[in-house]
Amino acid sequence: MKNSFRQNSGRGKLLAATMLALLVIGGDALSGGAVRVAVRDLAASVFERTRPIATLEVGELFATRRALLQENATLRDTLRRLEDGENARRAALAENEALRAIARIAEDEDRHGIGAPVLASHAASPYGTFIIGAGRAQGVAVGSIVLTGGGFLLGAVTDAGERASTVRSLFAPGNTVSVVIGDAQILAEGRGGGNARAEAPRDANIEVGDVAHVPSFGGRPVALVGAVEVEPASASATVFLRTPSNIDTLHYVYVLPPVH
Amino acid sequence: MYTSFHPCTDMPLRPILFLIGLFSALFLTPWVTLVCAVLLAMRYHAWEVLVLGVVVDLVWLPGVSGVASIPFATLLAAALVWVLYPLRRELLFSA
Repeated sequence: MKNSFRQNSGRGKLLAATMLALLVIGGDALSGGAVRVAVRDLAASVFERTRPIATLEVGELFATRRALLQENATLRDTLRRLEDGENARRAALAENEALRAIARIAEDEDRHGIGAPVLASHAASPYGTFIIGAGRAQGVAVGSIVLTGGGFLLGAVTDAGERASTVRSLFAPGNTVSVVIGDAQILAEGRGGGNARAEAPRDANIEVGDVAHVPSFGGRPVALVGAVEVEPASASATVFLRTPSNIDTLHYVYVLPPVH
Repeated sequence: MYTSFHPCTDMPLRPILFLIGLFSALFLTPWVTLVCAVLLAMRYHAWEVLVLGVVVDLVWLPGVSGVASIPFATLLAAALVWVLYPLRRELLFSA
């Protein structure tokens, strides 16, 4: 009688596929990221082509509701941009006051940056990264810093392809960064989605709306304090930080070349 | 003992799950990709799970040093495929 059990029929294929997968990843690591840069350049062309699809309207049945939803989304986006501008102004004022207090001259922005479209949102990334449509051809290099339109720091370029680059969010999950809020320097732990959490001394005088700056990136503003939680019996306060812009819906960012 | 196999009912689900997983790896949340990978790994000896893991890492993995550069998606895919391998052989799901 023929044995029709196929217990091990897929094992060989799985083993070969596993070896191939590890080979690809290992080859990418050994080549310094050449494989993923090539893949991302290809993916960037896909992202560029699919960006207009998101604005297409499909079907007439829900036209009225869809129109209202779209209007709501547009108004929310406008509101966020206005808030971003206001927050940028407050950040600039705070920085100005700090500079006056310690009598130092801030570094002037004599490096010219470029605007770049966000091709793929970080919402799809499990690593807190996103892809922008600018690469080495536009002068982007590893280490270039990425800002929102309001001047808030988003992250830095980790891989630069020919026409697309990968940016790792400063608040990527698990990433820690030292920030300064007022006169308190604390360590913020990224939670993804433009959010971070930090522990600060209870008497640090941190309030909602305060601006957090990153000393390692020239003191640039990175986030606002969204909430402060203090347990009665605790000597520390939990500070929740958030980027002022909704980075899930960012369309363009500003890229500055790295400082050499 | 004869194990019946129905290509007409079994075949479409596997590529569909893979395509959904691939689409979500590029455009949707990683959780959808994970669900597709788990379903594929539970139901088939699916090398497609490894492809999904590699695609996620090649597209999204940051090129930094340290823990952040570990290709967790590929490793998770390999773990899913091989950890569930004996389970697939024993459960009624196995093809």
